[in-house]
Amino acid sequence: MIMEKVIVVIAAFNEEKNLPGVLEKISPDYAVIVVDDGSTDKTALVARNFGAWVMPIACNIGQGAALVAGFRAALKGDWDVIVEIDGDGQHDPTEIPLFLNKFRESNADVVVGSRILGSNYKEAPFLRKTMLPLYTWFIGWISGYRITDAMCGFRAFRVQSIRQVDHILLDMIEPQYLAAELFLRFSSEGLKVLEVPIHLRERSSGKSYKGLFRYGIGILIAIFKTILDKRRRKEARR
Amino acid sequence: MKITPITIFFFLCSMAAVFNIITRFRRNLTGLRSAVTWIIVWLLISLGAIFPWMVDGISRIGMMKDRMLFILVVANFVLFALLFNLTFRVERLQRNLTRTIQDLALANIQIDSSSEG
Repeated sequence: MIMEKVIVVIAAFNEEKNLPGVLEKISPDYAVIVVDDGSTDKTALVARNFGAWVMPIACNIGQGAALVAGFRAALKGDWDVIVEIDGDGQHDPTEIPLFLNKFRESNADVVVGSRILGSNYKEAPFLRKTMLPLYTWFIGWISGYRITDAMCGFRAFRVQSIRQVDHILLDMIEPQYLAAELFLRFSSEGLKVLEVPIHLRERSSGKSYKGLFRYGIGILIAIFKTILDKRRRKEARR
Repeated sequence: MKITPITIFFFLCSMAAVFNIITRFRRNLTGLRSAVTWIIVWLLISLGAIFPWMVDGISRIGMMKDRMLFILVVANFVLFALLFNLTFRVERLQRNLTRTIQDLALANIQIDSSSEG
């Protein structure tokens, strides 16, 4: 079996309680960057204790912008695959091989996790079960991707493909709600996106900073801004 | 020319604003373009307050019979245009700031794929 060089990027903001549960499950074969997005707790210390690289951000710039910083750092090395997971324990790092297998068996540029395709989606809270397909449909309609879960933050990127379109990372405008903008930018660059089923988990500790409705509004604004930005860039090129 | 309390109020407000802008400009807190623009805006407001017939004339050109309605429409338009402009400016600043913070963080991290963190 081919062994890819994998780097896991985690953006964490005050996740000292959840981070150990995530980091201890990540295979020692993978490198890990924890982007400490201006945490005021011991997130950075916890990450260092687990042997991860810590990328301290001077102040809280938002999960999306922190992840982009992590991706840009990861592109400095010669890894084959960048995996993005949440630092709150909602994603199971033992499922990373599913993403790698998808890369091996297809020519996908990006593989995203789908909670809807996962076997335990029926147990999801009602609000999430209602809103998630709605947001996904909208993002799919705009981007042209046939996806089942556009909002999942468990994604993997083939470094070779991302390097060719690395200007995407510099163009990113949305500091918080990364998903919608990523799909729109991937779509405009013609990247192939495939899905793998993943299992749904709840946060190990604490509360999410983003509610589902707030998330929805943020996504709509992100889509609007991305479309405006793409038009502006096109006009500037003319 | 009929002087009413509202005329005096608008005139004094405009003069205070002009004085404030000049002070800011002299202290280097605002640029020349912005200072001149705002001085013109406030002088126009004071002119409108002292000589209402001028506003009447302009509002008739704008097909509006009611002077107050005309003032409200123009004020709303100016405010909306300013807000629009400011929103984009703030957004651009936020993006530049985020990019700078990212660049700083990138400069401070040494990543070597042959070793571990």
